Formats: sequence, C-alpha cells, structure tokens
Amino acid sequence: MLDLSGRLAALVEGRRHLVAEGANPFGVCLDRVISPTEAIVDGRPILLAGTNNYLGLSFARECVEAAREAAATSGTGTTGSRVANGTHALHRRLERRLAELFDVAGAIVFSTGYLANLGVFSALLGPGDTVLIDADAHACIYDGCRLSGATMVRFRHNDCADLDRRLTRLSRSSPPGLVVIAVEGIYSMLGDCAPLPGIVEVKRRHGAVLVVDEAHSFGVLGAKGRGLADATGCGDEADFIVGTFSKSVGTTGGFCVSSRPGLDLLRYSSRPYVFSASPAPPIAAAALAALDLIDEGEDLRRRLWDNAARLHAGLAALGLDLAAPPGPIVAVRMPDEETLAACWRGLLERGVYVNLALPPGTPHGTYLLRCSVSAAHTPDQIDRICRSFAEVARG
Amino acid sequence: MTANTPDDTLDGIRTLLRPFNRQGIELTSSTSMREDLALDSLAVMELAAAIEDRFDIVLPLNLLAEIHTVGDLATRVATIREEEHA
Repeated sequence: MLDLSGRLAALVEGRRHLVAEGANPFGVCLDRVISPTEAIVDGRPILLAGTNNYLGLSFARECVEAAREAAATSGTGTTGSRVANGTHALHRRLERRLAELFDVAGAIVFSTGYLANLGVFSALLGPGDTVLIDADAHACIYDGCRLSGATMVRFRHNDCADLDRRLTRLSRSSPPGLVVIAVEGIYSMLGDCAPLPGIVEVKRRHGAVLVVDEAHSFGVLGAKGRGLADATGCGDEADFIVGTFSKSVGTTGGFCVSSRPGLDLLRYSSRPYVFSASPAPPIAAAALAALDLIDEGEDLRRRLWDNAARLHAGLAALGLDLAAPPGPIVAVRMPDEETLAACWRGLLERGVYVNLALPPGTPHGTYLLRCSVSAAHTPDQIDRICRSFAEVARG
Repeated sequence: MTANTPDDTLDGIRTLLRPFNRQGIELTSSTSMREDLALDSLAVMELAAAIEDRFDIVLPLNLLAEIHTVGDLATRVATIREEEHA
C-alpha cells in the first residue's frame, strides 16, 4: 500500500525544477491588486499580463457599485443551492439578461465556469451516449464527460476531417444514444479559434448535438461580444453555449444558454448545479452589471483587439515563436522547461506577470509563456511587456 | 482484407508505441504502459488517437483506464476490430 508521503513525493518530483530556484510559478501571491493591469507582489509593482481579464471589468465602476449594493442589501452569500433557498430574484434577472443578450430561449447560471461545463456535460450525457471532444479542450469538459458515464472519443485539435472520420467510424457500430461534439470558441492555452463553420457542417451531416464553450471568447468576439458562434454566423447551430463570468465578465460564475427544449431540466438533473451554493449576491450583481457593459462594449472590444495586435506584432518582431494569430491570448512557445522557467522569472523580475504553462496542461508537450491582453492595458504597458520580453529573450 | 489476429494487432501496437518508448525497453505483452513506459495521461491519449487511425476503429478514452499492459491493449483493440469490421 502506498502511504501519503509516497503519493506526495511523486508530485514534488514533478515540480522540482520549477520550485527549486525561488519564485514558484504556481505560488505567486498578489499582495494587493491596484487595477485590472497592476498589482503589488513582494512589495513591488507588477504589470499583469496573464489574468484573462479581457475587458478589465473587474474594476468597472458599475460592477463594483452593484456588488457593494448587493452585499449591503442581500448579504455576502446565499448559503444555499438554487433548488433550495439559493434562488434569489437577482439570479433570475441574471438568467433573463443572458438569454436576452444571446437572443435565446433560456439561460442557467452556475457557481463557476468549471461547474458550468461539469454541470452541462454530466447532465446532458449519460451511459450509452457518445461525446467527441476536441483534443485541446479544457479539463472541465473532460471531467464533466467523465462524470456523465458517456463514451468519450477525442478528435484531433481543430481538425474537421478527423472529427468526420471518427463520427463515420462511430456510425458503423450505431451508437444507441445521443452524439455530442464539444469544442471551444478560443482555446485557452494557444489562443486559437475553433473552425466553427466546418464543425457545424460535420455536425449537421451526422445529426450530432454541438456544445461550444465560449469561456475565452464571450465578450471578446462578435458584434455584441456573444462569442465565436455568433461571430461566425453559427449561433443557431450551437445547441448549447457554455461560458464563464471569470474572464471578460470580471467576476466569477458560469452559464449555459440555449434555445433547445429541455435546458430547464438541467436544473433538476445537474449535480454540480443542485449541490453547489448559488453565486453570492455581490457576484451575481457584478455579473449582471458587466453584461450591460459587454452588450454595449464596442469600444472595449476595439481597445482589446488593438492591444492584442500591438502585443502580437511586438513579440513577433522579436522573432519569438507565437502559437496563434493575433488575439486576446498571445502564447509564446519556449524550447524547454529550463528556458521557460528562466524567462518566466526574468519577466517577473522586470515587473511583468504572465502565465507559465507546461505539459500536461498544454497540447503536444509544449512549453508556453502565455500572455493575455486586456482592454484596460495602455499602449505603453503593452510596449513595456514587449521590452521585457526582448530583455529576457536576449538572456 | 487485412489479417486481424491478436498477434497481428500486437505487432501494430508495438510499432505505434515506438515513439513513446524513450528508454528503448523491450516491448512485450506484459510491458506496463504506465510503470514501464511511464506514459502520462496525455501520452496515453495521443497513443489512443494513433491506434484509432492505424486500425480504423473507435477507441474510447473510458477504456484506457482499464488497460494496464501492452497485451491488454492489443486484446482490447483486436476485439473492437472484430466488432466494428464484422
């Protein structure tokens, strides 16, 4: 029998190189957050370039005021599940606003983005059903599918022909249940988009159900910020759209929107929904206020995309290996773990925080310095990020 | 019509395992994929995709948790080949 120290030793060994040299990439503590783009870490001001705070709304006046007001009038938490004492008028309003924003029949709010995918996939699917998951999809999609007991098949990342091949093979054994395809709007690690029109074409041909996770694309893509499905004219073909409040919305929570009948049934069958306390009033109020800002967020999106283009061009000019075309996630490929860790620390020493990402959290065993851009960054800040990269890249 | 025996499947799998066999150990049917080959979850998924394409089958991720040795894998793949191409 393995004892606890034996189990932990394996984990410690896996992170030995990264933690050995002082700054632990997984142990950064922001002593104080000053704005969506600045914080104090170890007494030093740090420029934040890896927070997924795409629109900078975590400090939006409207959202902060709504949260403060909700805390004062409704308290700091609901202390209950949505199916017990945890449904407030505020949660209903938030769901109606989401449905209106996406122009769909219904919306369900979850307590986090992770729980939204866990809740949707585990309730939508069951044993006998089959789900085809993009190879680069987030852990919460895999976890939700695992929880469902459905047959899980992985297809090559963003490869419509591969998806088609796997569906064709599957049809030979005539699976008895539902067939679901799971993709993301923007993939969190490399920052690339799903080829949605191609996926939709395959989906239609095989009569499958399509779930699109717009965690990183909601608020970011499309005229109203609805995400990739809307931006590519595939809104009606995305049977279920899942999203999060913890990125462009600037708070925490998750959601699913759909016009398909039965969405409401998830409220009874989705264990992550039934067995989690609902979002606290200040959180739900901040999300509701942020949805208005996203709906009218043309200026925010323009600033975000200008900043994204500026960072991408600046880093490309340094000859760095960038993983995707310009977008709010700019991931820089590093050759190995040692270079990755050294560059990550070099950036932090120069006052710039980015995400360090490595296998198995990244596709194809790649080592990434992952930047995310915000509408709240100033052009000067973007240039500072580029200069810091230039310095660490020179070594 | 391709041959479809467990031995034939085992040979095919051994070829597909080569890129994952970094220490160059001998691959027999009793080789453990996690302990001897030290395949992590991502490598196992990559291997599954390669097997699916090589044998033109669907190899669900759910099955991978029950598969420990190269021999287990070959038996399982041979069974799926029989079922899907019957």
